Amino acid sequence: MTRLLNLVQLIFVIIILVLIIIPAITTTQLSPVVDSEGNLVKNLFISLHHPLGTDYYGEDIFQKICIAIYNNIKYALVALFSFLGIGIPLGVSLGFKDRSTHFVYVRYYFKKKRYSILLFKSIQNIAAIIIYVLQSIPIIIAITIIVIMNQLNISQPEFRIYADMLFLGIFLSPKIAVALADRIEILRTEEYLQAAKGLGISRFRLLIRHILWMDSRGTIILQSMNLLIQAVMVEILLSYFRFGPVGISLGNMISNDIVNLTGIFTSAGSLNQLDLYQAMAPFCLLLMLSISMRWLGLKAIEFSE
Amino acid sequence: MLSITSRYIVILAAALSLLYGLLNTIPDSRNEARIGLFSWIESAAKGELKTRNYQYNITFWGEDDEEDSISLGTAFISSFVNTSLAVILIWIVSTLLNSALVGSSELFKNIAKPISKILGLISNIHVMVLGLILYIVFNDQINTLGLIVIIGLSSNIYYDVESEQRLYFSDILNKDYVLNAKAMGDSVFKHILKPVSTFSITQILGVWPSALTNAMFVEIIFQKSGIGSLLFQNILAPAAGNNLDPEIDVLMYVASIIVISILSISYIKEYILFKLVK
Repeated sequence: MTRLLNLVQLIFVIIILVLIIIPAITTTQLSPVVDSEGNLVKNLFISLHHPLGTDYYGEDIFQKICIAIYNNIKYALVALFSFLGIGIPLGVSLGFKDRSTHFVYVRYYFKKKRYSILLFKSIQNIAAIIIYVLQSIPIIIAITIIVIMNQLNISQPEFRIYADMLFLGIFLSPKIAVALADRIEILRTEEYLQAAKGLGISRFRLLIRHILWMDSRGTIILQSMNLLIQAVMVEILLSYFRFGPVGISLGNMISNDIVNLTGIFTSAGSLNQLDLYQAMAPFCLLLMLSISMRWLGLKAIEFSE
Repeated sequence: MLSITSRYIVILAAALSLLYGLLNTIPDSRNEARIGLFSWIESAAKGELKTRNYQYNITFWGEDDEEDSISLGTAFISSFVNTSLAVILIWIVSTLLNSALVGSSELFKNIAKPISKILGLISNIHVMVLGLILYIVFNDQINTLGLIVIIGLSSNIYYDVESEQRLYFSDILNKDYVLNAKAMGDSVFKHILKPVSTFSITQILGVWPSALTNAMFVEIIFQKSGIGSLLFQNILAPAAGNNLDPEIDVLMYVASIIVISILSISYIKEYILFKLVK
């Protein structure tokens, strides 16, 4: 009964995400709304055709948000690419063999001419150092360095955000690497894996099919969800400080509209009702995304187990 | 023990080299040649480094009346104190709630359960989102307690501490020696004090680096004194404005001290675990 309930909840969240993602992918161009005489329809109230109305420039706010999500997903996928590309090999290198690297064992293997184990141990040590080094640099420091480096070295502004995201994925890769290594360490003593080894299944097949796909996919999905959220947040941070992408993005929308929102709780100025919708929409979406993605990741782990 | 120390020395050297290598790729508008890493460390230790734009001396402890120097010590202390207080606060809250949830009467369980759920849900929100929402509500008029709560609560820090601690509590309370002590009428607290305190110290030390990152995010958003605002004023704002050079030496100085602090914390954590296993 609980499993069925979880499945229903999972399907519900997936439907919500699909409802957000499909319009985001299908809507790629933003065109101003015009009436029959060709005039711009500015500050239009909520209607069936324009669920969030239009802004001062006559642009449909819902359409704008869809494009922003599409762009943010695009940037986050670049980060995910480097995150998985670096994190999974690092995690596998760290966890595939027993982590003890005492000098006596190294000398023993050297004496017995077990060079393959020595090679594994060397790869494992290098992976451990890379992970420790990347973990010792806080992400905000890493972002600051990356952003300034790309700002002054890459001349085309539209490519900077992709380079930023690529580096972000690399700096965050220890998270998946450590989680994966811990998971592999637990799996090493599992009887069915020992049996698979005994049956002569190749190490590569064992790693890809049994360890990574069958047993660690929940961990990989959860870490990927966390990364996607982190990438969206970093884009917002960058846009907030004018280092963000050139086009429409959630970060640009939030940083442009935050002035409108701060007026609600202070006596800074009167707030137009339509400005409020425009400013609140990306915030609500972000809040929903922030909570649902983590929840979805945890459910994915439960489901895969 | 020696292998742990040597490993940390190698990691520190590699991390500093990586930072130095990355920062060396940033072009200097004055085309000045950068000094080597060891010379840089020596100059930083002596307080001989100068900022790019106004040629101020970069020092850790500077005199307040010196106008031509920039001292970073107060920013570090502010951030480190806020981070430590945040970690201790969430640990206390989490311990109280878990004690109520794991080993007390139904009444306390019923009170603690919804509080734990709500805090867990808020904890799932990223520090950036929570910070911006509170920035909208309070503008920059938030007090230190508010900052500490955001630092400790957001980006899953509270959630991770609480769930890990609850698992540990329920596990240790079902250990044979604890059940035996309970059956004999002996104090359970006496028997679990040592393992629980060791676990708590390692947990607090483990979560500290993530809380420091949160602290920097919050300081940037609310423009409060600390490493975050230091980074914003000296590096992000000049680079975004394009009229001033980003202060690369300040960034390297800040990054180096943070890396050393994080590695020291990790070292102490591993040392405690090592001693425990021994």
